[in-house]
Amino acid sequence: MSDRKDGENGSFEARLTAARAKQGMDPKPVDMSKGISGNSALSVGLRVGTEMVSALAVGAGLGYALDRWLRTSPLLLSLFVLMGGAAGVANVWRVLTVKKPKAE
Amino acid sequence: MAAEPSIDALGQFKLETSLGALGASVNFTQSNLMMLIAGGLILALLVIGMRPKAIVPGRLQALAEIAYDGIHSMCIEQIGEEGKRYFPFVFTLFFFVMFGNLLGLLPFSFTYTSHIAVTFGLALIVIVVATVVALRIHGLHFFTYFFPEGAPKALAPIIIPVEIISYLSRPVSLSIRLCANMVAGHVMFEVFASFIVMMAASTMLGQFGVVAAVGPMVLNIVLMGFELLVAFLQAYVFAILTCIYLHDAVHLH
Amino acid sequence: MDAAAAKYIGAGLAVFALFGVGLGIGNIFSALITSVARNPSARDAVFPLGILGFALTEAVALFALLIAFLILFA
Repeated sequence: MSDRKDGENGSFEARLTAARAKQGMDPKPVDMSKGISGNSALSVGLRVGTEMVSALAVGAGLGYALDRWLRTSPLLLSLFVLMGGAAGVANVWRVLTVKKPKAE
Repeated sequence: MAAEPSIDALGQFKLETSLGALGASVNFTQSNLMMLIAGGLILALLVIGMRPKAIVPGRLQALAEIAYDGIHSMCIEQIGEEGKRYFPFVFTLFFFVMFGNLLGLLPFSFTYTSHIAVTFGLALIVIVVATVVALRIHGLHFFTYFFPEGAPKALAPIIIPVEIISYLSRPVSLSIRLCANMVAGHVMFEVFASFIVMMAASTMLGQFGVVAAVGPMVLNIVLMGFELLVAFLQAYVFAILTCIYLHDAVHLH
Repeated sequence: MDAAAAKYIGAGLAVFALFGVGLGIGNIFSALITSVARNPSARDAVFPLGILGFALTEAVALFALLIAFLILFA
């Protein structure tokens, strides 16, 4: 490895990548870059449901707890359920719209 | 004939103390035992696997290298160059979750990722780490995360609570997804396994019951393959979501 | 029938609205998929509308859930 490296001046990385690609040894990184948009359709489908419900659950739980604490039942509960639903839709939006690889 | 076998789908998730009297005295459950085993196996895979240090890796070394490489590139692609700093964290999480899922598929073992306490603990660690990272990098500027630029000021009273709830829902969705997937898989195993016994022992079906019992048996075998996929996929999703949250923490949006 | 039982039945009836919400969400996404399949370039224009419709339909579900919560806890 070391005796050849000097000959082609740093192109070792490039040759290694080419060799690996030729041997089909690099399926994994390719897989990962495909999944950058947030995974395959299957895992997106699995994610959306939980994202939606968990935001609602957090909203409802928060509202219920605040109500118990401040004794304002049912005011905050109703408010936070609506907000939790909105947060759920926002979560779904976020999961579905991350299409392009992060540009930064 | 003895009592008809019944389906006890949730009994498998019951915590019991392990390691005899010593374990009982400190409430050392089989869940803790499986965690220790998983940790030991991960260490063994990396230490023993990498021992030959061969240029052309053997099987075990190749496995260790692929694992290292895969998570490493995932960190860099999802988080950016800074991702290298969080690589050990993501790597540990991924392997802890995956070994938990996979070990749970062995007979007589216990799936510690099927307990919401465990997964929620892991998810809390992720969120706390992400928040601390964000606070360290951006300081108080972090709180602009809850109010996207360019949104009309009049909407602030609506957007800010919604964003906060959305942020708080992250550990919940992260932990529930993993836990629910594991519980669902194992309940299905248990139910179909019970069907095998019930069909074979059923007085109504008689001799034919043994033949009929092949059905759920085949289903269970197929299910095992599916669960192997789910075990890996859920660990992968857990790791990639950790990366996405860390990305948000490092870059804010 | 005592009051507690009536409460639970009422809460159950309140979430019956989810029947319509389910139909509505199914409708929205079937229309969204159809339109994107017919004209894939319209995806970026149609997608926010689909999510908007989804959010509004979901709001109906939330109202129903809210009523159920109010019956149960308030």
